Amino acid sequence: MPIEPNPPAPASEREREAVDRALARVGAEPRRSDLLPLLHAVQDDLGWLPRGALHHLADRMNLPFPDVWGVATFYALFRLDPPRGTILHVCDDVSCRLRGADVLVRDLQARYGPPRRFAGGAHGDARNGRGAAAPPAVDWETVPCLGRCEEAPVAVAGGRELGHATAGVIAAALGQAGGDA
Amino acid sequence: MPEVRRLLARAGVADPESLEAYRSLGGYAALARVAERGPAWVLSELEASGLLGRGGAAFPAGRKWRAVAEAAGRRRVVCNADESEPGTFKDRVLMEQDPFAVVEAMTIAGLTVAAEDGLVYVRGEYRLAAARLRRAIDQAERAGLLGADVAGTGRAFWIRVVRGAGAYICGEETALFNSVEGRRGEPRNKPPFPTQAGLFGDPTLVNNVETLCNVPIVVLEGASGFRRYGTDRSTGTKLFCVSGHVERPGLYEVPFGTTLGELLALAGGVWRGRRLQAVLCGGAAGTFLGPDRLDLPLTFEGLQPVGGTVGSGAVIVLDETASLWDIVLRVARFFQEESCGQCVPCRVGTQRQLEIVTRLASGRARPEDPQLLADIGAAMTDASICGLGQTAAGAVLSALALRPGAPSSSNGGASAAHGRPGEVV
Repeated sequence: MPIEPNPPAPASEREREAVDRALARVGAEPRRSDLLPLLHAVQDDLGWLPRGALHHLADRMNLPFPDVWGVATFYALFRLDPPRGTILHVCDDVSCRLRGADVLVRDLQARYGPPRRFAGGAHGDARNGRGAAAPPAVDWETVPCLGRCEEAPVAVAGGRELGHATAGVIAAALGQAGGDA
Repeated sequence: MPEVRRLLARAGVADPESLEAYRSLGGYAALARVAERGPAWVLSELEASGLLGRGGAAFPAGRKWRAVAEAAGRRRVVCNADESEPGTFKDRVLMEQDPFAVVEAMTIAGLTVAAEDGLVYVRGEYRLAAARLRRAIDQAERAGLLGADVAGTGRAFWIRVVRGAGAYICGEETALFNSVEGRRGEPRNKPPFPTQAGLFGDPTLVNNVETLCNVPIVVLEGASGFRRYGTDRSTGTKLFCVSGHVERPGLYEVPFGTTLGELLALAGGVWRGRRLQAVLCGGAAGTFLGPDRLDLPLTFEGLQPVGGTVGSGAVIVLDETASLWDIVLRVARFFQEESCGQCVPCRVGTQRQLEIVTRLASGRARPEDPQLLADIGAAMTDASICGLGQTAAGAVLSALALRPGAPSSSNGGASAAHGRPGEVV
């Protein structure tokens, strides 16, 4: 759940279009059970779920806004504020920890600054290097088990799954992904 | 006991995006037999096979199928592919490497319980698995193996794929239903059970991916053939996800009854010639077992007396240098993060448990902390409405049993060993 709600601004033109496009794909009469796929579709389109888009979606689906907000905030993969760069998820769960996720996370902190969020608690000292000075092009967080433990430690950088991840492997993948979310 | 390849017979062998490849390796022979012999035969073979659910709860599959088959009204089939138990990746491998097997097994379920609506709920992070399943469904539809007339039976069965969005709790079957229905993924009270009132209130057969993938084997080999592997009460083979401090982490299929030591040997043993400290068996919802348990047969009946569980099949190995309490702390934080917050024992219990484990892991334990953990654990186990809260204390309490002393007095101090896992990589 985001601590600071994004501004309650009306949906921008682009946001309305994204919602309308997603709705057009599910057919004339969207049902409540279409909500999860619709939220995925809007996020795939916009990179996140702006509050205005959720208002518009609620209106179009004839649902109270709090119902849509309640669902959108329940799931970890839905982003309720704009990405600050390429999305990077780093597993710091049990199996990855045993295979060096702690050190990986500290290396990443030194490179990209503190993460958006630590799923598994803070990892030692944040030695902020370049990340603190330059605007971070990477929006990263640690996440629970990604289900690829045979290749631990694992990460997902810009949608690409990376096994045996090191800061170098991740930097290379991020380089290819570019600054786009 | 040797490694076998039954559930994994096609994994890494057949092109997972080709129906022809699947058929050339025996795929869809089971559906043909089901079409020929009928639902009553399937139900009796499944019951006689002794197949138990592989998602963690070990419920008899045959009994569940019969309950739905005998329920009144519209019925549904749901494949629970929301695999999120830490250390577990078997369902991902099955879906990515053998997606047609999941589709065929669900189709068999549809014909057997007379359902027309099938749904796979795939973990949101498993993009490749979802894509492969969608491809398999498309091809099966075009080949007449799915859709308005399944394999010439005159029966309809459709499957759609729904992606989750990052919530461990949605692996709980009733939370999964709520999620599909467009609600927060909060579990429902049971009863009514899913077989009575499940997805959209209809009687619903919900099975884990691995459970379903066993069904074509039961159909093709019959109950007796299926029972050639495993023990009397834990029949067939099991996929174990071995990770952590072993030489060859990976997915291993072995007959039930294989010992923990034999499984670890298959994975090359503890890495770097080190000694075993503990195994976290069953993932975050599982229990820690010490090195004295290597002779334990991996069966439902063998693990239960020592407080263990087969669970999801996660086997996470900690060598002698690992910080046990750092791992326990991660598990406690996992449950605190993933508790849906709906029921009080779990919402408050996982938070309090995390606070106490944080003290233990940093060597600031209070004398009353072990008892407090036991009390909170008992409250969560007894009073939580779903399996998340009911299992949230298992790993923590088993670690405490393994290391009764304060963690700072053993090799388990989190602060002392903080950098160790990384140093050895």
